[in-house]
Amino acid sequence: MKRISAVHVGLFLILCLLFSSAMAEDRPTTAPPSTEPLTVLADVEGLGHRMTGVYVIRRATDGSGRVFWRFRGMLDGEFEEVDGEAFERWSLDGSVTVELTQFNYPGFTLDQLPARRMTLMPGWDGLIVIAGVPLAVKGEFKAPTAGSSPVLVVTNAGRGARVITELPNTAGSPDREGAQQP
Amino acid sequence: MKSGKISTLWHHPFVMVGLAIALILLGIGAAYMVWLNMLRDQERLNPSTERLLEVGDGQRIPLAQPDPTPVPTAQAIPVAATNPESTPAPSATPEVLPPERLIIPRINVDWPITPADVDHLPKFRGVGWIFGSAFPGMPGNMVLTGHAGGPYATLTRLHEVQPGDDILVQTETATHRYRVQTIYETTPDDVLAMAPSDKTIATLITCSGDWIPERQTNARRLIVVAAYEGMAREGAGG
Repeated sequence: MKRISAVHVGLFLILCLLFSSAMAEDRPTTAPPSTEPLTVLADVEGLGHRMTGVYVIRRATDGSGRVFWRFRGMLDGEFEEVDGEAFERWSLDGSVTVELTQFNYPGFTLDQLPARRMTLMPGWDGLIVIAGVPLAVKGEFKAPTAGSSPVLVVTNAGRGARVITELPNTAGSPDREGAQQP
Repeated sequence: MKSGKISTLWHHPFVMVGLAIALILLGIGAAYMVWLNMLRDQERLNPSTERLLEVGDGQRIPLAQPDPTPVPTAQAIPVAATNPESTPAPSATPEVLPPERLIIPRINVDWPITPADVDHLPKFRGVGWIFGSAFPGMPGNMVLTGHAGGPYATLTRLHEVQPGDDILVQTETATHRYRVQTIYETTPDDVLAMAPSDKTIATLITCSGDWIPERQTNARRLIVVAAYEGMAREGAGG
C-alpha cells in the first residue's frame, strides 16, 4: 500500500468498473442489504505492468444496485489491497451500467480516477477492450440473483492458453532485495 | 448543368480531403471490427483463461478445476465479515472465496495469501495461490507456493511438516482445515504436482535440494499434499 500512479489506477479500473455501479443520489443509507458474492480472478498485463489478484464483490440482492468490492493481489509482485463501493444498474435490454462510488486507497480520492462509469452492452461475448487492452472474461455475468457464475476469470484476450512446463521457482536467491510484509 | 456542378464540386479540394478522411476512418473501423472478430475466434478456439500443464511427451492437461459450485454443508461456520456494512446472506452453503491466510501450527507459519502465477510470484513475505487452482473447501487441487529462502521466505520449514498435521486456510468468512497426507520431493518439471483432482486437496510447493546458480533455482521441489477435513471452528485459525 505504497504509491499509486495513473497506471495503477488504470489497471484497477479495468476491472473495478467492470463489475461494480449507478446513481449516487439514489444510494440508500438505511440498513445494510443482504448480498450475493461474486469472485473475479484477474491476471492482466498491460502498460508495462502485470496484475494478478482477486476481487471479492458483494452485490446487494434487494434491488438497490449497491456493490461492495475488495481487491487483493499483486501488482508486479508487490502486495496491493483496495476496497470500495459501486452501483450497478441493469436495463431491460440486458445492458449494465457500472459506476464506482468509493475507492479506498491511502492518499487517493475518486476525483482522481480518469473514469468512473462504464456500460456493458448485451452480446459483449466475453470480450472487451478497455484503454486499448483486450480482455477475455470467462463466466456468466448477470444481475444479482439471476444466476451469475460464482467465479469469473479475466485475462488478456487473444494470447491463447498459458503452458506450464515447470513448478514455481520458489528458490531463495541470496542476492535478492529485502522483503516487505503486508 | 447539374452534372457540371457536381463535377466541379467533386474536384473541390475540401471535398476530396473530406472523402479521403471518411475513407480512412471507414478503413480503420473495418480493421478494428476484423481485429475484434479475430480475437473472438482466438478466444473461442484457444481461450486465454486456460492454463495447461505440460506433463511430458508434449501431452498437456488443463489446470482448470471443476466448476466451484458450492455444496451445502452442515459444517459451514462463518467467522467474520470484513466489511461491517455488507451482510452476507445467511446460508448453509460455503461461499466461493479466495484463500487469504495460510496457517501451519507445527512450523509457526502464518502468512497472507495472494493470487499468483507460476511466473508471477510474491515479492514480499506472502504465499502464492496459483491462478486457476481450486478454491478453499471446493473440489479440486488448491496449489499454494512459497519461497524456501531469501528475503521473501515463507515456507522455509515446510520439510518439518509431518503426515497428520493441520494446515489451515482462512478466507474472508471461514477457516478451512486440511490434513497432511503425503510429503515428497520431485524435479522442477514434474508439473503433475499441480494437476487437478476430483478430491478436495491442497498442495504446498517450495524449493529444496542444491542451489543451481546458472539456473537461479534449486534442483528439487518439496511437495506437501493435504486432504480437506472441513471448516474449522471459530478461532481455530487464530
